[in-house]
Amino acid sequence: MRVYVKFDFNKTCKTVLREQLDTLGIEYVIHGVGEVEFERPPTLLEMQKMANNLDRYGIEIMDDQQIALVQRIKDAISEWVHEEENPKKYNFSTYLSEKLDYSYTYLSSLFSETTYSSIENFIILKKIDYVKSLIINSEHTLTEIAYKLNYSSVAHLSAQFKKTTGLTPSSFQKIIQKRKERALMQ
Amino acid sequence: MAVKKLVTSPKVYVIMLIVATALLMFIGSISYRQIVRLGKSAESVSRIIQVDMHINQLFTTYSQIQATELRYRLLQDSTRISSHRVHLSKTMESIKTLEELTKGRPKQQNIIHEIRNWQDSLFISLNHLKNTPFSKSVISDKEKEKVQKVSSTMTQLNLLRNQLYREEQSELTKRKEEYASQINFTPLTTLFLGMFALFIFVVSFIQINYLRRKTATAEKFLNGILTESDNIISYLKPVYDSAGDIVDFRIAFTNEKIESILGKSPGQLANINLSDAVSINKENNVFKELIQVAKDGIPREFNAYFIHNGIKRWFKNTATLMDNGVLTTSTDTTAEKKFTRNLKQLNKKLAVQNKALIQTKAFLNNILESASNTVSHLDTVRDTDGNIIDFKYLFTTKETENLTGRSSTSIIGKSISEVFPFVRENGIFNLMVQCANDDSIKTHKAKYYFMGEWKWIHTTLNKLNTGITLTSYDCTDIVTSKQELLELNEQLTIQNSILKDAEAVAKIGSYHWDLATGKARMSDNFYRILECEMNEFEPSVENYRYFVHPKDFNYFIESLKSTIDKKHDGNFNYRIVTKSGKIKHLKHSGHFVQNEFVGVIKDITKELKDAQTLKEKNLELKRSNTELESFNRVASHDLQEPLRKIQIFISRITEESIRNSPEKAQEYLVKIGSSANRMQNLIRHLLAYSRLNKNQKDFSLIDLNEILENTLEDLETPIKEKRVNITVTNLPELRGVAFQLEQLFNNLLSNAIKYSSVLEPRKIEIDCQKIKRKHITDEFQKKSSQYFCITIKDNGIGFDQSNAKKIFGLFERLHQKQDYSGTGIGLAICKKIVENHGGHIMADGTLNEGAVFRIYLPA
Amino acid sequence: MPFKTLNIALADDDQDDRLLFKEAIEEIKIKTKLSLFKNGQELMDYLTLPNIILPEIVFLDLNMPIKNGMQCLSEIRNHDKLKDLLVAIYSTSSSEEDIEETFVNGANIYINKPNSFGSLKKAIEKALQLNWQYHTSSLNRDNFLLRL
Repeated sequence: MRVYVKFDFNKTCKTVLREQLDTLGIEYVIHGVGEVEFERPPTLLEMQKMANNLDRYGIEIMDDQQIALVQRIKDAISEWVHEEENPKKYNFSTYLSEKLDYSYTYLSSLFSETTYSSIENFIILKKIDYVKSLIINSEHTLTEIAYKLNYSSVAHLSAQFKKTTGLTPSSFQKIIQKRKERALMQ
Repeated sequence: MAVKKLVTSPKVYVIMLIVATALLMFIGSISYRQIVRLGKSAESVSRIIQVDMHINQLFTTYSQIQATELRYRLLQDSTRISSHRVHLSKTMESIKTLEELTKGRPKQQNIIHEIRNWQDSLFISLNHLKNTPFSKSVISDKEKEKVQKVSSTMTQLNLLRNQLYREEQSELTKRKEEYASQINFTPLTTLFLGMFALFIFVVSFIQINYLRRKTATAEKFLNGILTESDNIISYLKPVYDSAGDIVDFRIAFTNEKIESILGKSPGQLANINLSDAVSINKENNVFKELIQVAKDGIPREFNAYFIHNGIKRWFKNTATLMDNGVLTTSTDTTAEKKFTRNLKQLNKKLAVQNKALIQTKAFLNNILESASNTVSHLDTVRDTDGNIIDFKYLFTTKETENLTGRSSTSIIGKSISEVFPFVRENGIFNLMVQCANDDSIKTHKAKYYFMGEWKWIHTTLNKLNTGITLTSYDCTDIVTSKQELLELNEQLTIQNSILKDAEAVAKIGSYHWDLATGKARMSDNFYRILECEMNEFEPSVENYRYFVHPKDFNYFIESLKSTIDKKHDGNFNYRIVTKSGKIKHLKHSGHFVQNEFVGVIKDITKELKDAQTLKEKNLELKRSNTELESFNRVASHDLQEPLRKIQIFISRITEESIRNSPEKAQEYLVKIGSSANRMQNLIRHLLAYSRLNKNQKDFSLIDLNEILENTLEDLETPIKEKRVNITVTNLPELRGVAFQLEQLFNNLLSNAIKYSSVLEPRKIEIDCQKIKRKHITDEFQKKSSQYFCITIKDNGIGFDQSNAKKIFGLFERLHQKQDYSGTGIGLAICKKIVENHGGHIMADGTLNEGAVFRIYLPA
Repeated sequence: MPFKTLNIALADDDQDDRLLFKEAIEEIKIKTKLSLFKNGQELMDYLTLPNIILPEIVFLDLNMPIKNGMQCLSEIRNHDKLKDLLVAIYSTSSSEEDIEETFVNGANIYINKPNSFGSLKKAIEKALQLNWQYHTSSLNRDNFLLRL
């Protein structure tokens, strides 16, 4: 016989977390899924113990270093996107792992865990953000922008733009233009 | 010319005088120097003479001394008290004087010095001699020697004396020569220069005197002119301010004439500023002109006026720059001006009178010549009893020739019975006699045969002095036209009755209104429109006003008045109240025919009512349209809402608990879901279709490639699911509404995907061509000269060609809902979009083989 | 800190929609605090209260009684304190003109009310995620336009 179970992943996690934290004997509050706030800072020993206990359930304590690394990844992405003549002969993963001296797999998983997005998605987001600023601030045509940002074609750029923002580049431009006109009129 | 001018210029004489004076001074100085030199020469000569004298004296003394000594020696005189001692002082004195005199002349002084030495030696010798006892007998050698020595000393002294003489002599000769040369030169040059200076003096004096006399004459002449002149001549010195700009002029001189203008004598005006003397010269431009003259030195002429003591006087002024001042000459042109003006007026009057005279003359001539009347004057010819037997032409106008064919010159002087013998037969002759006798005016009309045709001639007879005047004209036309008029009248009567009927049919009334007499006439139908009997009232504004609607009365009167005043077409509408109390709307239009106003009124009551109904209906239609639109929108939107709820809750059920429900329930849930989805599609499409009804005006240049790109993006999932191979060629840019065109492609492509064949490979080919209008075989209304023909070809299930037109109809479906989901609106939307873009869409299909959709869009 | 609570406000006159929204947002893994309002007026009254914690995102239905979504949007954009709020329009209308108009008036996100619970969750999640990205990663928020 087969029994079907249904479980709330969130609830499960929280229950496990709560059980483990209770053993520490420090007052705490759980914020959402990923954050625990202690009333007093736990000692190093306590932290060690907690990390060990949680590790069994696949729960990991993140440290400040990791957060800083994520920020560095973001910075590197930003640099990569905005670089006029960036070293596009090799791909971003190599670029990033060389730059930060970590394996790309590690960086990628860390990024995905910490932010709500994958590195690839974030690159796209950054690129589209840059495309937006180019559309608004300069007289570049879409063809020029596509070339500048290393898109294979305008169609590719348009498609990615549409996928990311839900709008076509031209309707985006139209909206921003109209906003400006309205602001001028007031 | 320049030389002559130079010679006559007084400056030259002044220079000459200066030169002469300089010459005289030069001569004087030379003479003075000569005289001084002469004096010097004389002095040196006298000195030489003095030297000479002293030398003589000195040597005389020496000779005396020698002689005395010798004598004593010879006489053996013991008492000789050395005589040379006495002479010694004398010689020393002479030598001293000589030394004094020869001071500055070393030669002489040397000689004198030597003399002195020799003299000393002489005295020493003499002393020796004296001390030696003297024996008469023997003269010792020693003694001889001593005497010898004295002698030689004496000789030496004599030699010296001669030398000195020679020196003095040469000096004297030199002086003499010098003197002689000076004596010769000085008087000659002095005399010559003196004479020359005197000559210049005389010439200059004569010239200057001549000039002075000339100046005096000129001055006298000028004075004469200045005092006698009718012009005011003034000399004005500019007055500068601190900045060096001219602020005023000071009257330096003015002549007597000014007194007659300003009432002040020149003396009183002298050194008075111009602005004080004449108060208005700053406004009347004089000042500006004067400053200009003072600045650039170009003489100017200008007219200006002065008002003094209330009298305005005009002056013609000339201003010239003279020695930094301005010389002005002003001529009183007031009288001249007045005279000219009067003359002009007189001239004008004369011209007008002249013109009038000429006109009158021409007018009279015209009357006579061009009035197409023949005017003749004939004198009576009487027999001895005083009875009129004939008339003789004294005058006839040229028109005679046109009327009778005989020139006036051939008639004048002849008797009427001679020229036109038939006058005695047609009775005009008798009339003429009567007229001449009883002074009455007669008229006569008769037919004459002139120049090969019969003419009706009308003649008026009039007595003038002893003769009569005949005024005749050809009244053939009048007589004929009278007949024509009669015929015309008949026609008009017929036409009038037709018009009356027409008026009644067209609900038109008309009226004539003679503005001069105030008389009016109204057409029968006008009365009928007013619901009155024909000619029920006298047509006049006064009578008509009672029919005009009281509310429109002012407007009616004003419109009518302005039409008449301004003589323009009176087009206006107003209401009337008919006799039975009905309100009718009249449209009035009218215009002037000469002095008559012809007006037409039209009963437009029905038209107005119709127009009003139309307007209301139109409004209603608009309102219902808007209502429909908003209904459409609201209905669609509000219909969508509960539907969406159904869908979302179904999704919630299916996600959560579908596995727990019985199989039937699952099936039903799926069915509910698909029904809801269909309904949603239907509503969406309806909404889209109704939106197309709105006039979309915001056309812009659109790249169809981009549109297609977006569409394919949207349809990515079904394309992948069904593995459809889509080939695309380059599409053009054209003017259109982006989202409509996107919808067009979306509908057509999703159709093609939806109705694709069950067999692979599934293909869709999109192609485009630019075609000229004349090459398009498909029939539709073509406004553009060129079209893009976009074809979307698939190898899907196709359709029967007989349904090719049907598929574009609203809610037309060729398939079972179960087989293919569809709303039946998609293609209708496509058709509408293409038509919105001024194009045409059509489809060719073959069942189970595929379909081709052709879209024509204006290029 | 990366996972802090997001304050969210929703103004929708439809009780079912509010319920579905609440359920959807509870199921997504972003930590949130949701305030619900029955119409634009209620929302505006709340937002303009002194000393409240402003929500990170305001979801606005367009069709609401008393004060509609468009009015709220203009008021928010013209209010000194509120003008930087992230506004997401949450509406049934899929009319291109409506969408463009709301964006031009200053909306950041346009969500077409979806017809399945799954897509609703996805839409909200994406909106929140993107907002969070914009919030934390120095992206230009002036140009934040998202259509779902």
